[in-house]
Amino acid sequence: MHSVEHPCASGSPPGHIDHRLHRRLFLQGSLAGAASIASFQGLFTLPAHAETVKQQGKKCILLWLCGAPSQFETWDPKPGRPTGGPFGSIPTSLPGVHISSLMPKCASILDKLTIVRSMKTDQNEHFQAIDLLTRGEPPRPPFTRPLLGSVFAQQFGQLENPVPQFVLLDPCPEGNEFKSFKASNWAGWLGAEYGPVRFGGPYKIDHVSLPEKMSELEHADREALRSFFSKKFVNDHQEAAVKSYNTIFERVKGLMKAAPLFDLNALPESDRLRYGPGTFGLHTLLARHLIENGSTFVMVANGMPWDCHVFNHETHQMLVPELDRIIFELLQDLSDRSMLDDTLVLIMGEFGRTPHLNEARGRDHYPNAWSMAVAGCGFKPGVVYGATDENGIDVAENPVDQRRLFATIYQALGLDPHQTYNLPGFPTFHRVEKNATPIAELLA
Amino acid sequence: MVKATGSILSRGGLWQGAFTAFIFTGPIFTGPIFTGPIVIGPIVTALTFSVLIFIGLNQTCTAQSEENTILNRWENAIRPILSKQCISCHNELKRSGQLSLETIRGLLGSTLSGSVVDGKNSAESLILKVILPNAESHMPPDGQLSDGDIESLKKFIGELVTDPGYQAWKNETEQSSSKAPQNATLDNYPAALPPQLVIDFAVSNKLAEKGLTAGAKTDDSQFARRIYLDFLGRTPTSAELRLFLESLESNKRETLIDSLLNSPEHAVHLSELLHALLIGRKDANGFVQSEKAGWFSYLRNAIEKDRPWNEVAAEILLARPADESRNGAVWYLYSRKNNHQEIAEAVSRDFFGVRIDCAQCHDHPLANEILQRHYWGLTAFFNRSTNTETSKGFRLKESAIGGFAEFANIRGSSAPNELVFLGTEPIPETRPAKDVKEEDRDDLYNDQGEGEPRVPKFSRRQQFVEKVLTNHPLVSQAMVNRIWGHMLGRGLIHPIDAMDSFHPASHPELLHWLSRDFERRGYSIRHLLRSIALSQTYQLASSASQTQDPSLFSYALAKPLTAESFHRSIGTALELKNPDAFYALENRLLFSRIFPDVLAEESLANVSQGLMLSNSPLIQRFVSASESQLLQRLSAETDTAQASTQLFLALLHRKPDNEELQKCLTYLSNTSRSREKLLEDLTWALITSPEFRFNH
Repeated sequence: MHSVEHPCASGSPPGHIDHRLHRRLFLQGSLAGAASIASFQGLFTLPAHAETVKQQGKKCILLWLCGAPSQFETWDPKPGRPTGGPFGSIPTSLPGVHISSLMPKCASILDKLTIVRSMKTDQNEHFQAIDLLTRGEPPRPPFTRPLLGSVFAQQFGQLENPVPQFVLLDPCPEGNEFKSFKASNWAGWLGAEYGPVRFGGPYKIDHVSLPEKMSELEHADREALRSFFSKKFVNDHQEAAVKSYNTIFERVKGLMKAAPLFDLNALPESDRLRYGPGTFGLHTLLARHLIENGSTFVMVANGMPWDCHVFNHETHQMLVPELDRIIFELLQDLSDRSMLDDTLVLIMGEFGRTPHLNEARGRDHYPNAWSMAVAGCGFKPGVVYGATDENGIDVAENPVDQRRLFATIYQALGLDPHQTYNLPGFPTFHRVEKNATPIAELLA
Repeated sequence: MVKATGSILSRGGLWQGAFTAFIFTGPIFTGPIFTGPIVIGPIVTALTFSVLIFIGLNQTCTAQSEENTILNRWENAIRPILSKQCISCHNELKRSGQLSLETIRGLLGSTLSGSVVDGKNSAESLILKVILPNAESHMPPDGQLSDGDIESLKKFIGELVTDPGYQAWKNETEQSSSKAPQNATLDNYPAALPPQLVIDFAVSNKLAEKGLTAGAKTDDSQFARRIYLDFLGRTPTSAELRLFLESLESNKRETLIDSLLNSPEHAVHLSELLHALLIGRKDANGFVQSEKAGWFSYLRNAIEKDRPWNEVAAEILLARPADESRNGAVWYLYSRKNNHQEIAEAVSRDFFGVRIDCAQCHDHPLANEILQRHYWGLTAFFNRSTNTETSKGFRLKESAIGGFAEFANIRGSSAPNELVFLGTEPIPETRPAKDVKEEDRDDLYNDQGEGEPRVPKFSRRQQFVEKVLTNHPLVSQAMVNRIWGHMLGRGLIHPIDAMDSFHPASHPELLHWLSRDFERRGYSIRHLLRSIALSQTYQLASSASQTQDPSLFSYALAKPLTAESFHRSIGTALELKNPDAFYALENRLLFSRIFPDVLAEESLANVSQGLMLSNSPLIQRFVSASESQLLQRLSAETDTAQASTQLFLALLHRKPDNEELQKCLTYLSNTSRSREKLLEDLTWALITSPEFRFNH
């Protein structure tokens, strides 16, 4: 068993008080007017950093299709079968492979995508399935496993980067079960500083300009003071709420600098027209923009429109072409900017939808056999892995559970899936449990 | 039989003694010997076991030979294995993960991860899984049991679950874990006992079961801040605090509790809290409408008069106010704008403490008692009602016909929406035949007099209030759980809107007792608040060096202030010259937008809060000597140590320690900036610190 590398020389986990001590010492220095904000990057190039530096550069955009889209109307159509629905299939740029006729743009670039048609998981309730597919393991209270985004932020992110490393873009604060998921502890045992910065609704962030008649230095001095006076209390109180409240101030400065990045109006109108209209498209554009400018993991959530217990076909007829366009534009842009090798694009929900329609002409939850898609970083493009039977009722070959999926994702990123977390006093936790192996056929 | 085996177990020391004696006399044994867990080398193990089993068999006691073997094997073969790498954490005192491996009873007991022994399929037992190499959540964390040890354990457990004594052991463990007190259960407690004693008893009992004790008590200063925040929604002024601290009354805490409960500020604070829960904070328009409808004054009046909660609930849900002073009651339903499903979801959550949102499309996947018919049944109680404006104010008129529908589940079968909710039988109602068009006749109604809409003779809303709401056990329990959550930082069932079978209470008997007491005392919220405040449990200090299970209430939880309380506390601490400006509606709305949580399941901060506190013009304007009398006064104070101490006392109700004082003096000694500006910075740093932000 070997431990996860940490950027801090003391060897303690980043959330540990030692790590904070370094920052406090720096900030004390600023009170004497010695250091300016711009130069603080230099103070943190400790020798142990070199190891993590080479891992940097990996990024991820997660198009989180919450509510769960139907595999029949996207990646695994069954035309002519009783379960197939009214939309046929179309050929793609991969010979012999067909996807839903609702996705002509993706069909033309399927050679850039990796499709898994044999997802087989065991959670069919939203909240628990969202947890499972974003963290990789069922919960084991009182320990909270971090979300994939937090793992990314910790491994590849730069805490000192003004641009937030893990961002959740979400236009819909009220999203049924997704609402309670959003209220939960995302960063888990990695610590609050690896939690996401959340933005939704308006594309601008409030209160990002310096107060009147206050200089940057005075602003920083005042924050250092607050941080100093908070130390004892944070030490003496263990609630996650206390720790997270203290941590947010560390991000204020960065966000003030990074705020212009969130202004979509600064992007060319042609970009906005290509991705939009609609918040899903515009948030995906924003995600690309953030990744280009230093963020590490952006999760684009768009409420829960995919949960079609009612009128499945009509809903997918509306949603899938939009998704098709968004994926197409995103992959084109990433490819044009030569970012695809280092950027992972994950396109999935938390399960699939039932082969048969219910009384309301909807499809219900179906974790038994479903599809997801990936592109970029470390994955072999143009691969369709696994298959379902002719009616899409069960997986016919190569079932993939979330463990193998996560193992493959970590491997693609250059991380050891079986590495253990360095958590003194905790039971042993690996990145991926039960020795689940990465799927070699999916890896480049 | 059980008792005999029990005594054999407790003579573990005897076996260990024999074991140790053997080690000393026999030349074959080598290796280190400790007084604690005995460590044996692997080569020696096999020899030891065979010898000891021989001894064990020769010294059989009065119990049957079958049981002796199991116990012998436990004592002589299994316990030593567990002693090597497990007992240091999983002993009777420390009980990591709530598991003790010192006795068979402990092995069979219920732990944080459930039962580690699977009685039906012993090979699948959790304990056998985690000790495998490369197991998920591997045990021990930094070691590995040998293959031989693992085999022995596996064999032992296989024999244990088929042993005749197994069921008796299992029953013993279940009995001891489910009952809180040793002899008496809370149900046996006299109704006349003060609730605060019952609370302390239940909490300390559960702690004792786990070998823990409660932490220290608050000092007077901490107590005063806490109770002012919980009851009035703001921190005490310096004068109020001084008055309390200087009082020589022996029961001054009780006196303070009573005086705060009777203050008009209490009614304002609690009504704001209830409003945030029952209707939720909306934008300016929503706020103004609620005010105009008389909703706030209705709630305030209810708190001020300590009106029985069950009566208030009935009034709100019937929405037929007896007089104009009760008009505000209608707003709860009226504000939902005829969205009957939204009403059902709200009513279930707000009055019964149960979320039924999931049950719209199917029976609740996790809590079996919540069925789809309850969702549609509750909706049906309200789906004949529509908003109307009368000369007397907002009302909900109700039709005598209609509201019949079928709801489909995901399996495709549909059912009629009967008038039924959780824990009740359907209320009989004649359903019209499928294609019959109902006739809305006058004789189906009773007139109500001028200005009031006529009421159906069979009024579904009335049926709901009379047949479902009245005396429903969840109604008292929901309020008790909510008030407990407000005071202690966490419900007895957590989160507070999930009182279903999937969320067991941390102290079920206590919750039950308090709910019955709440009913006995006329559903008095004030009595409940008072009782909780008087308990030792409520008055515990909040600091903790390590995380302990918060559901044990061994220390007070730090609770984030609600938006209104945070806003008001900042205003109070600053001693504002223009409080009206500070509390203008737009500023209150800003606070409630940025700090939206109220009794949330988990309250994690987000960066927009940091941005608002750091950069908003509101904060900048009022944390200044021009708006704050406190800052104006302290800016004139030449003695910086005095100024710093006064600032700490005014904002945090304590003196700075030496390190903090030094920091203040250093900061204030900066000659390039005005004393005023430096003090503003200090003030800002203190009011945005977690110590101010949280109730602790």
